[in-house]
Parts: sequence; C-alpha cells; structure tokens
Amino acid sequence: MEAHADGTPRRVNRQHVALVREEWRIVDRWWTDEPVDRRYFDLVLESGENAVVFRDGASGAWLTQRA
Amino acid sequence: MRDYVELHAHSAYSFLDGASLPEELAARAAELGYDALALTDHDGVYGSLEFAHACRHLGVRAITGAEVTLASGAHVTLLCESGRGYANLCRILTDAHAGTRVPGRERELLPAGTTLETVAAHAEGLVCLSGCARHGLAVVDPNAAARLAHAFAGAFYVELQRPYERGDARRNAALAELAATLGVPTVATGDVHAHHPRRARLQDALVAIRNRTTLDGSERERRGNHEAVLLAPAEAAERLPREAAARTREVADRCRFDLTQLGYRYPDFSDGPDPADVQLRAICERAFRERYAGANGHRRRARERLDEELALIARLGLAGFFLLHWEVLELARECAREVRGPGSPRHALPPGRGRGSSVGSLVCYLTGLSHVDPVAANLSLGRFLNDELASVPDIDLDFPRDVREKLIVAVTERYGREHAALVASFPTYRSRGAIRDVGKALGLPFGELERLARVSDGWDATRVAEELERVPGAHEGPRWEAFRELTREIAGLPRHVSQHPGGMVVSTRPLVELVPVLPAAMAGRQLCQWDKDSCADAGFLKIDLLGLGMLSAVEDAVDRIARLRGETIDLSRIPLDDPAVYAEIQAADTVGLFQIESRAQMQSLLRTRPENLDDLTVQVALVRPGPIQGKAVHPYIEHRRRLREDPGFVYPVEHECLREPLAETLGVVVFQDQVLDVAMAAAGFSVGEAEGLRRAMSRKRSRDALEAWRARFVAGARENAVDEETAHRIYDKLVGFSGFGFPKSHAAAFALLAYQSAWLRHHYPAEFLCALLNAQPMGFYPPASLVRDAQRRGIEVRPPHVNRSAARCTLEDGAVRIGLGYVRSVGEAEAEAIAAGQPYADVGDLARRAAAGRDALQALVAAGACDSWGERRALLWRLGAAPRPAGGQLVLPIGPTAETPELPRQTDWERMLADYRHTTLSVGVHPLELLRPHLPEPCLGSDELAGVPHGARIAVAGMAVARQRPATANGVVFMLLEDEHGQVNLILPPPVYEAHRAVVRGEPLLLARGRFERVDRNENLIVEELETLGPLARRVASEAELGSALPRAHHFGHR
Repeated sequence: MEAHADGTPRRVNRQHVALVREEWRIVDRWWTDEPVDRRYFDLVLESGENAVVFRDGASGAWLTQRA
Repeated sequence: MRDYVELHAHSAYSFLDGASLPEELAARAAELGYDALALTDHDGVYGSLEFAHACRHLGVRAITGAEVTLASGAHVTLLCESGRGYANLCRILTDAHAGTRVPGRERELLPAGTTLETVAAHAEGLVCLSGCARHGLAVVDPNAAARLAHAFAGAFYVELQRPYERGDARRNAALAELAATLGVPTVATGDVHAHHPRRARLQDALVAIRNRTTLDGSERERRGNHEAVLLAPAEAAERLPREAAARTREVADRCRFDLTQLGYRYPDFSDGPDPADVQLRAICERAFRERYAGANGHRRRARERLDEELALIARLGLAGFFLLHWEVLELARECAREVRGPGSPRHALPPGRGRGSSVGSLVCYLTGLSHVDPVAANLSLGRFLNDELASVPDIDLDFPRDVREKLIVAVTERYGREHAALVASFPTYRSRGAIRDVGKALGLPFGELERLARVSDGWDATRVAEELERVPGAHEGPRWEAFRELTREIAGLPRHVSQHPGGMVVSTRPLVELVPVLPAAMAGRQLCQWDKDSCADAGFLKIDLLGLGMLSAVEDAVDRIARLRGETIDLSRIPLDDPAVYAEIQAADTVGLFQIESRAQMQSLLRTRPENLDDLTVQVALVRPGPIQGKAVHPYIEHRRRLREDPGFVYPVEHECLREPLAETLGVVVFQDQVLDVAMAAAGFSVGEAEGLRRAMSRKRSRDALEAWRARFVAGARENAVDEETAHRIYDKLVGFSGFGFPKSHAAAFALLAYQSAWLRHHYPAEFLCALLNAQPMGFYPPASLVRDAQRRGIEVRPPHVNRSAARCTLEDGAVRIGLGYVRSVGEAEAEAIAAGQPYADVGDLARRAAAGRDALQALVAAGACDSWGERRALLWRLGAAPRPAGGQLVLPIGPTAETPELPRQTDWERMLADYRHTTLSVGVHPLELLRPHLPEPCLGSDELAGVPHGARIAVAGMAVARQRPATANGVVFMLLEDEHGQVNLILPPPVYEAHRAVVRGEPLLLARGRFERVDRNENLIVEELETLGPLARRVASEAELGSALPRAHHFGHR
C-alpha cells in the first residue's frame, strides 16, 4: 500500500490506482473504547478491478474492505 | 482562494443542531480571513441580529438568511438581497411556524413547514439556494426545485455540498446536471454546524439530544464525520468545483442587506386629529385637575414639573411613546373591568402599576402608568428621561395575574396580529440540563446523573467536571471523559424558544416584516423570534406587562374584606404611618409580606428599624446585590444606629460633595439613580455621561470599557478638587454597585406595596393569609410555612373539607378554610365541579355524583377532606368499592356489597405526612412536635433561644423551609429551620456546606450543632455539624417515604 503526499492511495496490492472514484470519511463512536476514524477511498485499479480501502486514523494502517 | 464566502452556516439557534453561538461563528470567520459570512439557521432568524452586530465589530459582513423547511420536509436556503427580501423572509418564516401549535393542544410543538407557493410568492429580494445534501429540495424533489427556479428567475442557485459522505460524487453530478437542465448556476456551500473542530463532537451529541435518543441510537441521524465545521476559505473552496466555489462571491455581493438598519417605528399617534404632543397634554391636564384639585400643597411644584416634563418629551419627540402606554393602560382598565366583574369591590384599585424608573415621572403618574406621586415622594426624573436620552425609555407595568393574562391577548388584538407580539427568551444550558441531556446522549447511568444533578450548583455548566470529582464513584472511561468535555462545551448554548415574562413589542409597520412571529404555547399569544437584547438592538419599543403575585393577593384580600365585612378599602387612601404596622415590620414579623419577608430582609429590618415609607423605600433597595457589593449595607445600618442614639450624629462621606446626593441614604449608594448623582457631583459628568457610565456597568460588563470610564471619572473628579485616591475609592464603590440595584422610583413603588401588604396583614390577617394562599406560587415561603406562621399569630386554619371547602381557600367564621384545589391530583376544574355538587351525604354519594376522576377522589380522602365521615383507610376502601357512573349511565344508589374490613387506624405521623403529601401543608401537628421526644440529644426549641447567651454551643432541630446561597456571600449558605414554635436561622460556612452538601440540599429534617451568635437583635446558629433526622424519623414513624411527603425547602440564589 503506497500513498501520495496528500494521503490518497497510489498503489494497492501492488497495482497502481487508475482512478479515485470517491473519498469519504467516518469519525464515529468516539465516546466508546473503540473509536472509529477512517478515511475511505473507492478506487479503480489498473487491472480494472474495484477496491475500497481505508486508512485508520489512530494506527495509520491501511485496510481493504469489500467493495 | 479568498473569494470563497460561506453561504450556509447554522448556529446554536438552529436549536439542538448548530453547536456554536453566532458570535463564535463571527469571530472564527474573522480569524480565518472571511470578509463575509451568512447565517442560515433552520426556520428562524433568532440569532441573526446578534450575529450582525458581532460581525460588524469584527469587520465581517453579515449576510442574513435562513434554511427554510417546506411542508414536504425538504429544505431551501434563502438569503436576503434587500430590505424587501428580508421582509419576505420574515413572512415566509411566520407562515412556516403558523401551524406549529394546534388550537386546543398548544403545548405540543409541531415541526415548522411552509409551502412551495408561499416561498415562490415572496421571492422578491431573496436569493434561493436549493438546499443541503441530505434534505435539499433539488435532492429530494427536483421538479419542485424547477418550479422555484422559475419563481426566483435569476436568483436561484443549485447548492453543491461536500460533507464527505459516500455518494457525494454521484449526488453532485446529478445536481450539476439538474442545474444545466434548468439553466441555472451552481454554488458551493459548507453546511457549517460548528465554528471550530472542537465543537464537532458536541454537534453529534446535539443530534442525539434532539432525537431524544443516545449517540449509539442516532447513527442514521448523525453526520457520521466531523466535516461540517467552518473551514478556512481556501480549504473550503478546494472541496468543490472551482466555478461553484467562485460563485459564492457573486452571491455574497448580491446580498447587501444590513439587518442592523431595520427601520422600525412604534405607533406614535401621529395620524390623530391633533399632534401627539397636544393629545398628551390634554390627557395630563385632565388628570392634573383631578389629582391636584383644591388646597394641595404640591400643586405649584407639580405644575412646574408637568410643564418641564412635557417640554422635554416634546424635545425628545416621545409624546407618541407615552400615548401608546396610556392606551395600553386604558386597555388594561377594560380587561380589569371584565376580570373583576361588574360592581366588584376591586373597582377602586388601578388595573396595574408602574415599576422601574418610570415611577419618577409626573406624566406617568397622570397617565396612570404609575401610582406614586413623584412630587410628593420627591422622585427625580433623571434616569428615566433626560435631554441626552439615546433610546426610548423603559416602562414596566405590573398587573395582577388575571388582568395580565387578558391584557396580553387584548394588546395583540388591539394592534393586530401582524403588529404586536411577545418577546422571546432562549433558556440556555446550565449544569442540570447539561448533565441530564449530555449524560443521556452518552448513555450514562440515569441514577448517577441524577445524583450529580442533585448536588450540582445548577448554574455554570462549565463546572460540571469539577463537581463530578466530588461525587463518590469511579467516573472513568471514554464516556465519562466525553461527558466532562461536552458539558463544558454546551454551557450557555440556547436550548429552545420560550417566552419572556411579559415583554411585548408593537410596531407601526407590520411586525411580521421586521421579525418572524410564531404562535406561543398559550392560546391567543404569539412570540417574535428575538429576545429582549435583540429587540433592544433593533430599537423595538418593549412594553413590559408583568404579572405580580402580590397584586393578585392584595386584590383578592380587598375583594374578600368587602364581601365579608362590607368594608370597601381604597388602598391609595390608607394611613401610611400606622405605628402598629411599623412595630411589626421593625420586629421582622414579616412572613408573607411583599419584598421584606426574606431571611436577609428580616435580619436587616431588626437593625434598620424602618419608621416610615421613606425608610421602607431604602429598605427595599438595600438588600440587593448592588448595595451589598458596593459595601453600603453595614455603613447604612451603622449610621442609622448612631443617629438613633444621637440625633446630632454627622455621618461620614467619602467627600463633602457627596453629602447632598447621598443624604437620603446616610452617605452610601443604595439607589441606582445615586450612581448618576455621584458621578455628576464628584466628576462633573452630564446626565448623559452619567447614564453612559451606568449602562457600561449594567450590561454585559466589559473590563476595558469600565477602565476607560474610570479614567474619565478620575480626571473629572480632579477638576472638582477630589483627590485621586478618593476618586478611585468612590469609583470602585460605584463599580461594586454596578447595575444590580433598584432605582429609587422602583423602590418607592415596591415599598408602597410592601407597606400595603403589611397593613392588610396586620388589620385583616385571615383575609390576607387566604389571599396569599390563593395567589401561590409566589414569595419566599412555601404555603406550609405561611400557614404555620399564621397559626402562631392566632389565626385558625382549617383543613380541606369536602362539604365546606370551596375550590379556592375561603374564610369560614373568621378562620381560613383550605380550598379543594390545594389537594394534589385535583385540578382546577375538578375542584370547581366538586364544590358545585355540595353537599355530599357520604363517600358513596361523592363517588356517584362528583365530576372528578377516581385519582382526585382518592386524593381528597387521603388528604383528610372527608375525615368527618370516618377513618381515611376505611373511607378509601369504601370509595374503591363504590360504583361510579360510566359512559353517561346513571348509577343506582345501592349500598356496598361487602363489609368494610377492620383496618388499622392511621397514626398521628401517618396523618400528618398524608396532609403534607396531598396538600403540601398541614394545619395539624408539626413534625418536630412528634419527633422531639425521640431526638438523640437535647435540642433547644426556637422559642428558647431568647435566653441563650452569645457564643454558647447549642443544637437545634427542625424542618428546612428555605435555603439560600447568594452569589454575593462567597459560598456561605443560609438556611431557615422551622420547628413547632417558630423558625431558626442557620449560617453554614463554605467548608460545612461542602462537607454536608447532600444533607443540606436534599434532607427535609435536620439537626444542627454549632455556635449561637447574637448581633444586635439578630440570632443565628453558626453551624459546625449537620445531620439528617431522616432515618430517625422513618424509624419513629414506621414510614418509608417520609422524604417525598414533606415539602422541599425553597431554594434561592446559586444552587
């Protein structure tokens, strides 16, 4: 997983990102032991495959979610 | 990009949605470099004027607008281009609220909503944006958006937002396509709901509170992220298509309307046959001939004063203003005639009376606005009217409650529903509301929150986190952390719309074009969307029609005396120097009197010993935060004592130039007008300058402004040969006094009513008590204490009686009979219905015929109203078994089908507690009489304190009647305990209060140990230890719910 300086994904699963279709953000459950702070991207990869990935605000980790 | 202007922002006046005050948005906008900002609250302009003024000071141009809800639930954003547009917006908003209260069910607030047709019909001068991402008209109903685009030709924009939700791209593409199809431009907006990211969490919580659920339960309603905050222009612009972002400047440039220039006019009678000045003079001259007829010693002085006042009023152009008030008073007279009924003994009473500085004006006296002759009482006009007056003066009018109720509707009808409305008020979050609402949203345990709410100080929600530390238990984890943060952030935000106690605004131009108007929660009344500060900023003339419980009580008493004794009392003609009345006042025997009944007043009365109405005028004004903080109380008391002992005593003053202005108050500042007099005498200020100083002190106090005035004051004083040190000292006292005092004229009006109440209480004690009980809630003491006090003074008070009581309290053979309305669960209409059916033969007959619910009948029996028929328990059994009419069918008068079983008799404790529980008072045995034999240690009764030496350590026990924590007392708490003989004053130093907080605040029966203190004629117990007698009483009484039965102490001041 690699990202541009502005935080948008560049490569996902060793594939270049062909298009960022959409970005959205979720900040929720901040009042619980499991707060959610995620920056989501709906992507089209160079293979034509769709992918939804998010970056976890707390850990900085990138995770994929089923599109 | 600097060209971006935020055109869609919500403040906290989008109730329970926006999380920032208008001035916070304005200040943040200035900080971020905006030169213009729009405020677009949901269906209102509640905060718009506040916003406009805040923006103006910060160099930001305020754009006025609102996000309007349509009947379908869709939103459109409307922005004002011109004054016409603003008037149209007000009409649209008025229409949106018109259906929010359904006749007959006014208490229930329905959602606002207007029609597409109404918006379209009022398009002139407005710019229409198509609404927000979730509920915008273009999103939910593109066809309707097309219709509006047509109506707003050239002024319709499709609104594009980027809330960072999934689906933004698709929605904005569709919106852009719609714009292209309609041939209208797009514009970007941010849908701001908070001025700063730190309020974003609060915004989430507000959504939960609004939906009456928790944060966990409001996922769908919440925004899901924290993007709806005010961003820097460049950052906001980057989120949306460049063209749409740039177009915000175009729209902002169109919207040049300035809300601070509104063009209001009050009805000034300029359309009458004669000029307003001539009309006013004619009314005054007519009254002058009546009031100053014959050999009145004041006639010449009064004539000079009248000419002077009328000339001043003419110069100021205020004749219409006085005529307007006169007309309201005439309306009040009609209302009073209607309320009091033909031939009522109350006819001799004026319909209402003035309070405040207007009482100092002779024109007010002659037009009926005030009942005090300012010439005879030597009242100055200064503060009320002077040549440098910048705005219309305030006139406050007090009315008995029943007259006021009618008058508010009558004024609305007289000037028209489009021209008159009540002023709004916006209750803000204080600690209790914050604890309950935020805690509930966070899903915190209810019991814990209630425990905290009970011990909380009640006022300042920013201190909740601090208070939480003092409550036992572990309050750890993210929810409690969030609770600490959010209670601080929510502090001071408005929660909902309410009604000002009596302020009305009247306008020549339709009010509904100046400010939106909405129906109030009471039938026939309507509110404008601004509070008193915004109304004042708009230059609106506010007429205060206030309801005063004591006026109702006095009227009731006069009426009763006339009916029962045939004596017509004209309170304006009673002797004002009755020695017996003053003897009671000097002995602080003042429970139930107007203004001079509180614990603090009583303690002061014992030392000042007022001898006449002038003394009483000072007395009324003395026990107020102004004189207390201005350190006037003790010197005044001391100077009075010295003068009593030595009539030749010359009291000291800060400077000889103050001797004359402070002569009435023995060298100290007691009245608000003396602030003006002192500033003029010491620093050579003009009336206008002095008034400016007074205003600087009384409004939201700005340290900078006060310091600027100090420099002027000291410089002026130096020229008057007052040395600098003395000048600073005088100024400090004036600042200490600030605005928290009465003008002399107001104090004089209140002193007169205080005396009248004392006179009635002395000469007609039973009638007066009866009237007081009927005028509740009012005053310092709960009804239970009023009854005990009266009993101690030899008045017989009889409990409610199903066959002898009327609905309200009445007199019966010289005794006071408690009315059926005093029984809880018996509504006013039910009490009337039960009384109308008297007499009843027995419980079965009562059940059969009384038009009241079963709960009400049970309460009647439990409260002792049926004691003449037997034991309460047996009666309840019979009532339960008695057949009741159902569905209009009559019931056959058949006897009970089962025998009443043998039930245990109620004990004295049980009967007494039932009395308190069901009527809030008991005329029988006092709880302390029953408890005294069981007390853990010997406690002195209140009647034994006279023999106790100063400094002795004693213990007392009693029932808490009142609890006071004045802001001026540095955390000291004052309590009043009542036992079977009288009352005892307790003083709790802050450490004792902190150590026994829960006991002080929640326990009705207390035992206090401490040091007895006697100063002059005042007796206090300085408490060192306090304990609850609750467990002991429960044991003795075998009654578990003792606490809930006994009346709760009245609380005053900070909690």
